[in-house]
Amino acid sequence: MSREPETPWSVRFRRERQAAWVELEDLVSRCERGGLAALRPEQLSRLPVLYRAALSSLGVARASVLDQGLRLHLESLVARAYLVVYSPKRSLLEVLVPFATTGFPRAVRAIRWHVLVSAAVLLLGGALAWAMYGVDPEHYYLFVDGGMAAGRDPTASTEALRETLFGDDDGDLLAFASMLFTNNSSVGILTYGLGFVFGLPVVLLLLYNGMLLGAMSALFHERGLGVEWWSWVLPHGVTELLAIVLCGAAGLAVGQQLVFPGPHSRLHALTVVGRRMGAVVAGSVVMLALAAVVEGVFRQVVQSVPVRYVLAATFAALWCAYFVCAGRRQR
Amino acid sequence: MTTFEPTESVLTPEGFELRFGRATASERLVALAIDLGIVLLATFALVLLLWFTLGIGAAMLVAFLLRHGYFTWFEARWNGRTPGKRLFHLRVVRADGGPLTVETVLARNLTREVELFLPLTVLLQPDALFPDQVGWVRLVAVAWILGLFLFPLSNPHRLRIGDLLAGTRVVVTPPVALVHDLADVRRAGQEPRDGVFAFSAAQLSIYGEHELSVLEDVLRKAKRNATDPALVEVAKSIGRRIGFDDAAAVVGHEARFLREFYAAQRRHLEQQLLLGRRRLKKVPRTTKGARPS
Repeated sequence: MSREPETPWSVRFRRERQAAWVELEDLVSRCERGGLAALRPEQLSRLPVLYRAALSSLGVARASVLDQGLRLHLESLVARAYLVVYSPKRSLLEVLVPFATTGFPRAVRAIRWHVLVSAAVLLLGGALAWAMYGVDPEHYYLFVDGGMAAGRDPTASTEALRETLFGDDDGDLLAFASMLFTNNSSVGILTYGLGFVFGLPVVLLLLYNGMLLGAMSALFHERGLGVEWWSWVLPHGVTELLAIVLCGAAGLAVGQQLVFPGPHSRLHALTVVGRRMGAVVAGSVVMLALAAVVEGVFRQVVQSVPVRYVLAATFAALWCAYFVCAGRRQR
Repeated sequence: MTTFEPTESVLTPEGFELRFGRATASERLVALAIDLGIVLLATFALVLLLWFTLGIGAAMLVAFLLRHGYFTWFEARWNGRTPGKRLFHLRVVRADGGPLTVETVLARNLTREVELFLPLTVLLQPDALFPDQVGWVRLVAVAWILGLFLFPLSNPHRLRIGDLLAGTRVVVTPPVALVHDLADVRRAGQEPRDGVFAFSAAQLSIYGEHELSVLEDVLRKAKRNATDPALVEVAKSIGRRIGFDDAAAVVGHEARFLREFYAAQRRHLEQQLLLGRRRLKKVPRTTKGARPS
C-alpha cells in the first residue's frame, strides 16, 4: 500500500485553492497590460470573487502555512490584484467637472484665512515698494530688473510709457500669451512646492511679486497715468494676481501644517493639507491660463479705458461669486 | 530570480494588511531617468515640429504641459505607473490604502518643480538661476536644493517631499511565480513515492521556522540531477543534529532524505501552529546538564 508520507496539511490547502489563484493571476496580468477593458464581462465579474478568495487564502497562509514559495506568491498576487480591483476608473470628464464645480472652490474656502494673509503680504510688498519709490526713484531698480521693465523705467518719457499701455503691437499673440502663462504658472507651482520649507520662501515670493507691481504702479502714477495703468493691469491682473495669491496661500497652508500640525502627527497633517493644496494649485494654473488669454488677446484688442475697467470688474465679480457660492450644496 | 520582500505594509479599506515590496532608491532613479528621457525627447521633437508649423507659442505651451503633465497624466491614468515605473514594476500607492485620486497624484507631482527641475537646473546651468551672485550665496543655494533632491535617502521608506505631501509610497509589485510545493509528493508528472525515512517527534522538535525556510531555499536552489555537494553537507549536519540513527542509509540519497525531512518538519511545525504553538528558531544546543529546560 502506498502511504503518503508525512504530508503537511498545507499541501491539501494548496491543492484545493490553486486553480483559483492561477485564474486570478491570469486576469491580473491581463489587466496590468491592458487595463480593466482587457477583460470580458464574465471575467470581470469573476475578478472580485477571486480577489476575495485569494485574500482569505493569504490570511490563512500567513497564519499557518510555512511554505515560503507559496506565501511569497500569494503576497505578490494579492497586492497586484488589489491594485487592479481598486483602480479608480474614471474618464477625464468625470474628474474635471466635479473638480471645477465643487472640488476647487471648496479647497479654496478651506484656506480662506491663508488667502487673506497671502493677499495682505502681496499688498504689503506693493505698499513697501511704492513708498520706497517715493523716497527715491532710484529704488525702482531694486524691484524691477531690466528684462522685466522692457523700457518701463524712470528714465523713460511719459509718452513712451503711455505707448506701452496702448501699444498695438502686431506680435505673435499666442506666443505672448503662452509665455505669460508658462512663466506665471511656474512661479505658482514653485510657490506651492516651497511651502515645504516652512512657508518662508512663499512669503518672500509674494512680497517680491507685490513689490514689482508696487514699483511699476508708483512710476505710472507719478507720471499721471494712474487710471490708464490700472486699466492695463486689472483685466488680466484680477485673475492672475488672485491665482498667485491662491498658490501662495496653498504654500502657507502647507508651511503652517508643518510648523503647527495640531492634534495629528506632522505626517498625517501634511498629507491631508497636501492633497487639498495640490487641487488649489492645479486650479490656479487653469486660472493663470485664462489670465494669459485675457492679457495676450483681449487687452491687445480692447483699447478703450472704460471697457477695460468693465472687463476687470466683471472678472472680479465672477471670481467672487464662484469662490463664495460654487459647490456649497452637499451632493 | 526575483527577490521579493514584502515589507511595505498598507492597510486596505476593508482592514486587510497588504504587503508590497519596497522600491529602492536606485530603481526609482533609473525609472525617473527613463521618464525624463521620454519627456526630453518628446519635448524636443514636438517643439521642433510646432515651432515651424504653429509658432513658438504653441511650442512653449506643449513644453510646459509635458514638463508638468507627463507624470500626473500617467500616474492618474495607469493607477500610479509611468512608462519608466512600469518597466520596474514600480507603483505609487496611497499609504492609507485608499484609491489613488487625481488630487493625490497632483499633490505629489507638483512638487517636482522644486525637487527635481530646480536641482537639475542648478546642476546643469547654475548661472541661469543665480546670475552674478556672490560665490557663497550660490553655494548655499546649491547645497539647499541638492538637499531637497537627496531627501529620499534620509528615510527608510524612500519618501520624497511630494510623497510626504500626498501621503503616497512608491512600492514594487513584481509578479512572483507559483513554484511547486516541495512537500507535495503527488506532483504532476511524478509517481507518488513512499516515504523511506521516518522521523520521531523528538527529532522534529529541534528546528524552527527559520531553519525550515533555509532548508526550503537550499532544496529549491539545488541542482536537479547530480548530487549537489551543498545537499550532502546539509544532510550530514541535519542528520548529526537530530541524531538520525541510520546515517548509512542517507548516503547517496541525500536529496531524498532532505526532501522527506523538510516535509516531516513542515508538517510538524504547521501542526504545532494550528495548536497555537509557534517556534521561530531552533532550540539552542544544550551542553550536558548545563541548562534544565
